[in-house]
Amino acid sequence: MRSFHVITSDDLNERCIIGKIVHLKREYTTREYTIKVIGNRRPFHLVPAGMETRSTRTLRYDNDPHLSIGDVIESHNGVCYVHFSQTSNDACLVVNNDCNEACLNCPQVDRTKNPGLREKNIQLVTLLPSYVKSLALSGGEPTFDVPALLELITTIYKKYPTITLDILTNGIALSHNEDVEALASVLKQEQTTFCITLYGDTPAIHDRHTQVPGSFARVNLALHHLASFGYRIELRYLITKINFERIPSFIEYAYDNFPFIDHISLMGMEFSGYASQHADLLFVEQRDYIPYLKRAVGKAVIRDIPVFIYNHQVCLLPKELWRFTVSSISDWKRGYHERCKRCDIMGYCGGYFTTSSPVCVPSEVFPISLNYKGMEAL
Amino acid sequence: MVKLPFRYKKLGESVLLTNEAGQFYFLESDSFYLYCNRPEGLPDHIQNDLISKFFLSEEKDLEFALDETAIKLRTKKAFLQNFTELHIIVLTYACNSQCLYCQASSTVNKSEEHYLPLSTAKTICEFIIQSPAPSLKIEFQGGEPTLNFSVLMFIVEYLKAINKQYHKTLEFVVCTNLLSLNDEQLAFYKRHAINISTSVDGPAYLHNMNRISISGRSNYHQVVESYQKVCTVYDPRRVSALLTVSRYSLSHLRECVDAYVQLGFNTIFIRQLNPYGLAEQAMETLGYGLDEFLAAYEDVLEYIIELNKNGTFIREEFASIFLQKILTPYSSGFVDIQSPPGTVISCAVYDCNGTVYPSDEGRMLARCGDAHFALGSVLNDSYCDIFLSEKAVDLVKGSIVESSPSCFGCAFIPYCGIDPVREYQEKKLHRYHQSCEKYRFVMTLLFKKIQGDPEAEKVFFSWVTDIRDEGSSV
Repeated sequence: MRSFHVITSDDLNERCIIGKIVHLKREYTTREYTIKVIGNRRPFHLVPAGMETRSTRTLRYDNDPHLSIGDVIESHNGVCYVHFSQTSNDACLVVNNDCNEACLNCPQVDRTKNPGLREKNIQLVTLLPSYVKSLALSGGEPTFDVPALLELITTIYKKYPTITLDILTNGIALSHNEDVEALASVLKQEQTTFCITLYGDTPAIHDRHTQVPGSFARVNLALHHLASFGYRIELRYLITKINFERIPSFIEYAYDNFPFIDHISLMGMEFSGYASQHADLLFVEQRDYIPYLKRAVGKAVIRDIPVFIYNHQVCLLPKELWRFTVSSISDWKRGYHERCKRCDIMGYCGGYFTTSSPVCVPSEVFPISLNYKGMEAL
Repeated sequence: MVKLPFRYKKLGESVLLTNEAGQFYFLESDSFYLYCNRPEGLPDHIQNDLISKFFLSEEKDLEFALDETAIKLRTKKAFLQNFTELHIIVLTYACNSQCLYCQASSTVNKSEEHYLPLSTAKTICEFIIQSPAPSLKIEFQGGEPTLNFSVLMFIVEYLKAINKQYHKTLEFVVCTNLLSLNDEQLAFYKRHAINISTSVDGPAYLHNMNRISISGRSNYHQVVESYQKVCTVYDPRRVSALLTVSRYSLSHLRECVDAYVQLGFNTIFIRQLNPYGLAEQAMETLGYGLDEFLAAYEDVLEYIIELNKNGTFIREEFASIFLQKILTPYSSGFVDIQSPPGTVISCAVYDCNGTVYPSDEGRMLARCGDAHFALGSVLNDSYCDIFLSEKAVDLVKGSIVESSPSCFGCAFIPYCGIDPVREYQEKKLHRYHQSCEKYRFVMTLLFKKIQGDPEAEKVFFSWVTDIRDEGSSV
């Protein structure tokens, strides 16, 4: 989630404020925002640092956070989180911060328990604009507390009966068929995609990432349960130094065992949070695994499995893989090099994670110049 | 490390491993030795491959490995859940062609007893609809079934009418030589989305040598004319063709494939002569040894693969039956090669007189005087009487490759099947294990290609996924 620092008046510092931008005043160099706060009729102001204001209820910012009307924000302990932004491709609710795995690669920053999250999410749903078509439910692990998840889904459907939901899960809680049954009683099959992360094609390789023995067996079982209820399933394979040699055999594994899946996404890693502490274990240069990536995509194509490459810089991939890339990094953490500004396909490329620790950001990117004969490759 | 159940076969320098669910892996001889005796000694990437393909497991993951294999086995045998899908109805024994190899013992005699009467057709429909399968495929056979077109129309319309109560998916196929195709018939096929299965035996001179028309006009030219009409008025994807190989065409199979490509077919089924019906008597002049057929088949398959590599999509259907099972998690829909066998479980045949047989070959045999496989009659017996009869159950029980002593160790078990009628016939003719030899030969051929020729593997996958244009390659 995108966040920035705010300066609050003392009495607000300890409180958690959730609200929606209702007014925007354009100045010559910056903008001033007014926030409608839940449970309080008086609006708060978000103003540039150093600017005098008559309101005592003021949130101040140093750099213009580029918000727009309808954006939903939360201020807590001097940090402002943008829960929903009109201009962003990233509409996501963090169902909770708890997790039942301890993945080496977890990019999550906040791993503390947050008891207010359940109520807060219900509030957030009421604040979201009515045109929202799809939402991702993430965590932590969203299935960690199934009753809380069910309550949230029910609230979402009440406001948005036709919304599509992407549930980002490690799947292990769904190895209990009773939990899947409970979900299935609420969650609409044709409007739901389960996005399940796998780290390997053998128990040892997968469990090494999750640090939970038996997690591979459980996610396998979960996939069969979900398929039997007819849910759409996306498999996400996160590429690390431990598992990059297994990408091609993972495609075969997925086809042999989960022929019912919708598509496979091969993902580059975000080295933030917990993951950045394990960079030495997990970081691998793109050029080292490109031969494997290429073979894997070839295997998926001949098997008629739709396959996508997420979080990769197009210039570092061979041309024949370009058509599989997706500009998948959330806009607020997507970055480009100075050099990228001279690239003909910068708008097509997903950039890199600005949230990753600097040593894990590819430095060899270069601008692509299209001679327009090469265009059909896209 | 624990080895999971596997079978193996030596293929050249390497060893093919297969498991119960049809997954496979190639090992070099040295690695195979290690795998059998001390799998911990194998290099990491091979150990991982073997774990990934369920040939090896760590002790603690054993339960998971067996459960996953069981799920895959259930997927492979999913055809058992659709009891009974294919129903073949013989509309007449009369025919307007005199093919030398006719296996259905057709006749040009047009006496009434050679036609399926309307009343029996009605009973057959009511019988078929009782099948528990959610989707039914009705195939019209002969003779030339279109010579009894009024009854064909009746069956399609009557089945659709009574199906309003049952909500099954109905699919119809007519096996016709296309000689007497007229506009009325074509309109009917189009209206009911009926598929057409026909015979083309190669270029004109070979086709006409095998398939002799009564009218005196070139059989080939009539078929091509009708085929082109179907393509323009109806839909080319609704027509498929069989190529029956006779002694005449045995050494000209590449020419036959060219003829198919030229006509615009995307599929070709290269079929060996059946030892049934008239063909049995004509075997002397038309027949050939299995060795001869297999050599010719290997050559033409190579040719077809090359055509595909060079951009012409044409699928060989016999190889595809095995490829479907080898390359995908599923089975193929072909009832003659499955285990438990397709007889009764997946297929039933209704003769003109209402007698029910477990397969088309069963009724052909009866036509030649051996009614060994007659299960009963729709006129006297109930659905359960026939489908649960001791004869039907014994037939199935005796033909399960997994429990057949001579098959037990064979690495090809997951992809194979025994057709009990064919086996009976082979025994009778003292031509033991001909099917077995043929299937083993073809599967060996396919596995060698899969192992050693990635471009051929790509072609094979395009056959089973039916992707004809994958765009730029990876």
